[in-house]
Amino acid sequence: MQHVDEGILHAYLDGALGEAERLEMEVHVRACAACASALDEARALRERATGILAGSAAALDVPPFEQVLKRRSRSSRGGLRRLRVIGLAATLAVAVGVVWYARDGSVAGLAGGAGERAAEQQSGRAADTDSAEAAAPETGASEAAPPAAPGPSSGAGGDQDARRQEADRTAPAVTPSNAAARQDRDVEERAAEPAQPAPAGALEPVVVTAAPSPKAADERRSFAERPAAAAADAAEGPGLRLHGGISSSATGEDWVAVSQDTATAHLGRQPAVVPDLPVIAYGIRRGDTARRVRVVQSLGDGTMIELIQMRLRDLHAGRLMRAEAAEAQRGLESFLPDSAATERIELDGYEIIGRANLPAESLRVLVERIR
Amino acid sequence: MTDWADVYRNCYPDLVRFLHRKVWDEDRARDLAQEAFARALDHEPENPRSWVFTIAVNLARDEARSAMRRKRHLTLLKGSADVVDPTDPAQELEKSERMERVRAALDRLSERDRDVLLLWDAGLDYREIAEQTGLAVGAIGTTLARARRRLVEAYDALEARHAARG
Repeated sequence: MQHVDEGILHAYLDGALGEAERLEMEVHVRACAACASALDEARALRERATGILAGSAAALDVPPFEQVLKRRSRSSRGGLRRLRVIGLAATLAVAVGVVWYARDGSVAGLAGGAGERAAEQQSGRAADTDSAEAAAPETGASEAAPPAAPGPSSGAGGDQDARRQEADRTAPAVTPSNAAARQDRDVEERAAEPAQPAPAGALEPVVVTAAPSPKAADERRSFAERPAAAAADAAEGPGLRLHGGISSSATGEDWVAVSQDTATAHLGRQPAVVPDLPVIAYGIRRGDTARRVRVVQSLGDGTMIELIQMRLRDLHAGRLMRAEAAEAQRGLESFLPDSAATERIELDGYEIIGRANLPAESLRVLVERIR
Repeated sequence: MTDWADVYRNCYPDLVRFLHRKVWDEDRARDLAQEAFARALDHEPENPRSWVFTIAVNLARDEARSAMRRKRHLTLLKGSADVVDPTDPAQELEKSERMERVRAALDRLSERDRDVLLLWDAGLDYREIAEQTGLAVGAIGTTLARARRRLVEAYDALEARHAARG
């Protein structure tokens, strides 16, 4: 008697057999002890595998369908935006290339402030006189090269839109001189939008502005929409790298990422954060009697700040053993570079230690913002 | 005409579950699931559910390639489906470790076995799995049997190692 194939047994259990096949198999199993036993084994295996997978099931709340519709329309707009950005970048590349060329003196007066017509004339002349390098007064070209220099092409009055329309009307093709000037105006316009000055005390490289930069807003959105992936992206950037720092025990690190609620319960109050910076993760340490909590926040460009916090009562009551403190310090140093700055403050009965790969003064400004 | 809202309601949880086990990041899985639906809306496929899964499989594959390129080394283990007391760190830790074992066990399967197993677990039937993977319908049962056995063996081995470490 031929026994039933294991694949057929699983297909039977999965309800994937046709009616005739199913009946045939059931008849066979009733008459064959080996196949009946194999079926029991297959059933147990199937249930066990299903149980294992259920242990890793994700939370299954279903957001409203409207989110998908919004997303689709956002994607369409995003596509147009991307095209504009590509166009802008291409224009900029042409402008920079030609201005560089002109600065070399290859094209006489090309980037000068004489306007599109002059530029066109000069272009034509340069094309005619291929070897006319000597005719290009280098100083003139380089002096006129900065696009911000006043001249007919940038206009002496009127609003920028009018100037742009005028430029578009007179020069349908982007000439080198007006391309550079136009780019510069765009940059100026964009720079003028978030025109809030940095408060006193903010130092490079972390410039703490009153309003977030457009890039910071993008990052915050990115963190809000997919925090884990954004954190991973950020960790790839220059500056302080997280390595396994907020990872699980599986990677050999001590910090375990937890929810904000768990961190709050662990610490005994809501963990302190630097205002206006996206939180990447809350962490606790396995078997930590001092019940420390670590908050990791992003400063952008892959630079992170971490805030280790614990109740002062625990520290002063001697619950934190010296050896454990030393071990904790080693744990911190394992993923922070030696040059990382440290700033400690006490706040409402808690000690907060901020660490980041920043100048000490920049870190101090950031940590003081917690107060 | 496809009622995408209805497909979404019925299919989204399965899709997230499937994607979660491909990218191991709940937020990213939800993000990819919505992206898959957003991309599917302009189409009129014969089998909408299967179509969405096809898009999702490709998105997950792109995601994996991208992660490989960046050599992503950061794993954020976040809370998930099991009802875990959010104020109990021990429970949360245990759940994180269990999920990590499932992930490691799945990693020991071949890509094809893993895909078939996860597609089945996400609720696709044999015919739909065959469409997704290019396997013959008749081979799905055998593939599933092998995938289930390897998953159980790998998981048990990891659990034994974990228990031995204490």
